[in-house]
Amino acid sequence: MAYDDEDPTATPPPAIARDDPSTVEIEDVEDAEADEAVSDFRKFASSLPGAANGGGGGGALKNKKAAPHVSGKTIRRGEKDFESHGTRLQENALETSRTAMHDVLSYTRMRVPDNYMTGWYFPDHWAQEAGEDEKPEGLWRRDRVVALEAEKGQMTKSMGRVLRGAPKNVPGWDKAWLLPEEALYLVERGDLLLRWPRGSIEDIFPLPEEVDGLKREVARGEDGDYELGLPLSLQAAYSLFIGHEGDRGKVTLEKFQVYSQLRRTGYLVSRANPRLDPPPPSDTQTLWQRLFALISSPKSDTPESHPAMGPLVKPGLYRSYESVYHQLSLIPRHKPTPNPNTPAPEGPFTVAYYVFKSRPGFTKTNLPPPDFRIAVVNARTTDVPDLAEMEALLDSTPWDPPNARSGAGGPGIGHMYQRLKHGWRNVIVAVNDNGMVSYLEFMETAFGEERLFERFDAKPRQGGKKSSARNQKGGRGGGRGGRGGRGGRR
Amino acid sequence: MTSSSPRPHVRISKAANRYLVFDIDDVMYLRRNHNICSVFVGTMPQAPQQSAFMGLPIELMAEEAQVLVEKNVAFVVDDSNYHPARIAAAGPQDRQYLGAVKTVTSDAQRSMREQTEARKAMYANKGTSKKKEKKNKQAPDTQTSEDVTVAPLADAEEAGAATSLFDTTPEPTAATTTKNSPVTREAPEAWMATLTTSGALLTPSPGQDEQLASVDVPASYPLYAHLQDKGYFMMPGLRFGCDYNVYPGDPLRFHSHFQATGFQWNEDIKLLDLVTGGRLGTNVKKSFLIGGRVESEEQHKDNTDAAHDVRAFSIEWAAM
Repeated sequence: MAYDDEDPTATPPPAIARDDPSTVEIEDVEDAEADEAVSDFRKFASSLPGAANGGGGGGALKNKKAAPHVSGKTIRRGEKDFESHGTRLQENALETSRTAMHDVLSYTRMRVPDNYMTGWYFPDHWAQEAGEDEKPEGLWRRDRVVALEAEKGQMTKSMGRVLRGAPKNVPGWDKAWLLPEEALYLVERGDLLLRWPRGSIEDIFPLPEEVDGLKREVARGEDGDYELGLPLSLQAAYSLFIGHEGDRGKVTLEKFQVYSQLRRTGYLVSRANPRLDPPPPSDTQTLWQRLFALISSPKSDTPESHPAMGPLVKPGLYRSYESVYHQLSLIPRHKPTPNPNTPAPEGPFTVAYYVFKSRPGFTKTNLPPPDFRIAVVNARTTDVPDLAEMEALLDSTPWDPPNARSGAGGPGIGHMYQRLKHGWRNVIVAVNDNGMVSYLEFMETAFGEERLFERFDAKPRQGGKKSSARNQKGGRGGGRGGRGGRGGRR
Repeated sequence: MTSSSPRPHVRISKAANRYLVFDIDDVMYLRRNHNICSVFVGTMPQAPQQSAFMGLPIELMAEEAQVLVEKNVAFVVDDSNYHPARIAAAGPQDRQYLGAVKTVTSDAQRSMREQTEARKAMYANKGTSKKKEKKNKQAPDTQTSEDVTVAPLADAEEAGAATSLFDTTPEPTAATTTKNSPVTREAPEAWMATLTTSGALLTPSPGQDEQLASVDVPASYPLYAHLQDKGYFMMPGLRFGCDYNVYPGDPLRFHSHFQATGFQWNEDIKLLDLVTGGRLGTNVKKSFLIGGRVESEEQHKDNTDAAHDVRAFSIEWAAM
């Protein structure tokens, strides 16, 4: 579109350009990438098993065979329009979408027996647990507020813990207890029937001394099991489990949303538990660093002091690039250390969850070191972290230097970008804006650790190196220092 | 469904400073009549392993909650306190709530049984007795012969097999009412239903004055109220680095036009912010919209109506 800026009348109004079908086409493509907020419920509804044709016997049967797994990718997003053009076609399309949405979302969570778990809400059962045994166990006993009658299904492989070491005279000692986010997620999935006990915990989980099960039978009146406790709704579960940061037995909504999104995507998630981290290296020098130390002289870490005036590189005789670059380096550069003395992070920029890729043999009782560490912040109440916050956050994650073992390639120059990308420590920050989550990865990276000039010295002498050989004759303090400097720049 | 003439107010659950709506009818009502769609934040029980389609509840932005309260179509209840208190106070509403649970459960059972019978009939016609045997093996310890065929449906049920489950209100399908009431026979142990809302448990809702929770709106609220008043749909702007992502109609159907950011009338705007917003907007085919409330002496008196006295400007990147 070449038009004259000076003559506004020649400018085609943007509306025309937009009505051009080809332009609209492009917009669809671009917006589809950027605009993830909304999806087409019509296609989704028809892809759900059983939803296709009004529950007719044949249809239901056919759909039952269809794979129950619906992945977002398999449903193509519907086409969208630029703006309302008042046609009935458009209105109908919108109405169909809305109706489909209404139908799909009117679903009530319902399960047949053997296909769900029952959990009882006992918010204060472990509240008196001493805080100090949080550390060795890492179980967050005091936050565990829902007791499962029995563990069933795939989900319990990564959720809920039987509190080992709990005294056996406490009712519910042999039950798996859920954290609030786990319980809420299970309720949302429809896997958990959450109940509010009408009696004490002894009524629900009688100790073995009492005749097992007798009490419960007695309690069942005409209302059946319901007299023991009220089955709770999703709304009730939210009101019980969602709380402010630091509330015992609750989880913040932003954390829960991140938790459930990760779970939906197939990751396994546990609360941050520093016990799973590898211990910081006791020897401050790893093998990798030692290798480095062999080829670089230790003095090169601290910049030299320079006189206020004069050349950066002192005139003289230089046999290696290293000594020249050493003088050229003026600004101290960050050097990651495995054992920093940073205070522990506070506030929102704290690792909240450890995330594991799903892998065979995963057990919740023996968690491997996590694949990712995630901090969750609220986009509306949190500012961009300052350096101290970021440092504290990063230093709370374990030392993970880039090397072959950590998947960042070998030491060679070919792996430089891999190493820089990997960093020395890394953490993911999930930013949650009213239910929309963006994930950002932060890394501690040290560009100063990649010394390109060392490569020049390591090479066998050839070509330009002759100049330094020539300089040898001049000796120190000669007038040829300038040339030495230039040699460094080459 | 419940859209009779005087519609009850939409109940907004406030949990730890976040605003949630759980009732699907309310959600659709807001969407159709008040151009508020918000973000669905719940896992969808029919398809729990994906994040492209999300289910209830919706999370309202504080601005949305405030607009609805001002329009007098909704009220906000601090459910972190109110809701648990209602559950704990065992009262007559319990029975009503339980009644709803039972109705839903028994309806589901009935429709499931209908389906099973339909299938049985089909098997009989086709003579696929082999398959039936296999099914019987899968569920050896079920109580009644009728249940044997119900149990294997478990897998399909997980993905929401029965369409009729969608209806929380009982439909009078009189023809197929079973002989013995299913509720007393097996309901408590056999079936589980987690209702989406607590319904009767929360009635009567707190009086309009006593329990109403306050809404903390951000500084960009006047711009939001203004655009809302003009009929725009808005979503949180996280993906586009703005306050609101503004749609000309329901985002189900339309692309967004603007990325909007609110400013104070006398606030200095950095040129770089304009460049950033403008360029980003151009890249995603939106225009960058800024706006704020005009500040002058006379308007200080009536601070109530935030939607007025707002001016908005859209910034488009001109071609060179």
